[in-house]
Amino acid sequence: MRVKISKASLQSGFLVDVEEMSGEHVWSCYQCGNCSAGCPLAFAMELLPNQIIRLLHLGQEEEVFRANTIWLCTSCLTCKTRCPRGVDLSRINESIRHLALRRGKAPDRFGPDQIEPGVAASAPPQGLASAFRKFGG
Amino acid sequence: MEYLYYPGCTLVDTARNFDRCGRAAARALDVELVEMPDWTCCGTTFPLTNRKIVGLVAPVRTLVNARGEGYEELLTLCSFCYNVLKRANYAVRNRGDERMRINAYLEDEFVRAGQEYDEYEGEVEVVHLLEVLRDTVGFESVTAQVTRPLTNLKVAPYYGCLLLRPQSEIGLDDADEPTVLEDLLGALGCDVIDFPHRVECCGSYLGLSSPDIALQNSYEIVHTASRLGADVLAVVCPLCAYNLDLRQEEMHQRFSGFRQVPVMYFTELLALALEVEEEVYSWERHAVDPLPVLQTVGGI
Repeated sequence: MRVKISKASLQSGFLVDVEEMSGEHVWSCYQCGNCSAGCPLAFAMELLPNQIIRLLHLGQEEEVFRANTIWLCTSCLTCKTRCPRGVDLSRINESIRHLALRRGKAPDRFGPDQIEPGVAASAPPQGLASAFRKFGG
Repeated sequence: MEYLYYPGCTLVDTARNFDRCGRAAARALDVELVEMPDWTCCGTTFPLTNRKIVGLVAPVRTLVNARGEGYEELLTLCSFCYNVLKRANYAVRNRGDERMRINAYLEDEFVRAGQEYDEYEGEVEVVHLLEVLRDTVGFESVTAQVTRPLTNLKVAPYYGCLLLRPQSEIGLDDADEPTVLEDLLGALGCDVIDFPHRVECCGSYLGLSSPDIALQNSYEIVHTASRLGADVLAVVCPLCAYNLDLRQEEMHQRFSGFRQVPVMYFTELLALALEVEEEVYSWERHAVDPLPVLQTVGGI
């Protein structure tokens, strides 16, 4: 992957927005990769969890929004449990999801009209409620 | 002893067997679960951004209403309910700004409804049946009351994520090396497997929104249990049961050499070991029928 790093991207307010919403210190991350090594959904992610953080450091808002990564994070907190720097990536990912939804950068990922009838009949209500909460902000 | 019990939406719907076995087994152990009257949604997911105070309304309202019932503890079975109620309680207890804002919101709601409101400061303790069995009843006492030990039944214990994490706020057990489920299953006489995927995510709600990806994830878990020779995979959460049990037919179609494994709630195994004879089991709710293995191995 190639990204263009410019003065403008480094000074963009994206990192500040994410830190304010999440309450996390994104620069605490020193890129050890423990989060990506343990993430159960990493196999399907277009960018690994630690790459999302690195792109935040570099102000790469569009790259972060473009990847499916934040939409595959289930907030299972395996990464938070193992992070040697105490970073809670689930809060960072949720903040990015909310920013994406507000800025019209969230593709139409999931809504009631996209559930197959068979799934709707057999799925536990908690699954429907939590999915709508996560995908609808 | 008596606990105020919060079932939550799924335990009165697709996971009625989880609920009924839990109530009946608890009663057999002299633990009465009194259902909270007029309970409302727990909120499902804990809000993970600072501005989403509205996400705390549902769980804190539930806790305020529990306090109003005059109980000091609120007992849950579903991992989602347990997690969001416990984390919301932690936020109220430890974060002054959130306590102030959520109380202002709820006071308005209660006063408009003509009810009195006292600031909620986290007085209610959220407990899970597993910790009551471990800390109050005691696993030795459970063993003493088991009349049908599940000897020879090889069980893979599966915790999932929400029952344990984040450890600093939940504190039920160690987040990476828990033992409570193994200890309970051992107390029932089960042959407990050392199961490497026990604290991994089942795929959660991705089973609904990204079913293909979630299937690969949940297949790894069930397939490993299968390879290790598990007769049963024991779970604590209805969404885990959905991903790990109801989708096994798809796993069977997609992955060659896959052997199905029945998935059971820990309350079902508990009820069986205590020989609860009531009509609580509803085996038809299982996609992979556990009865054949229970009959041949478990002697049921």
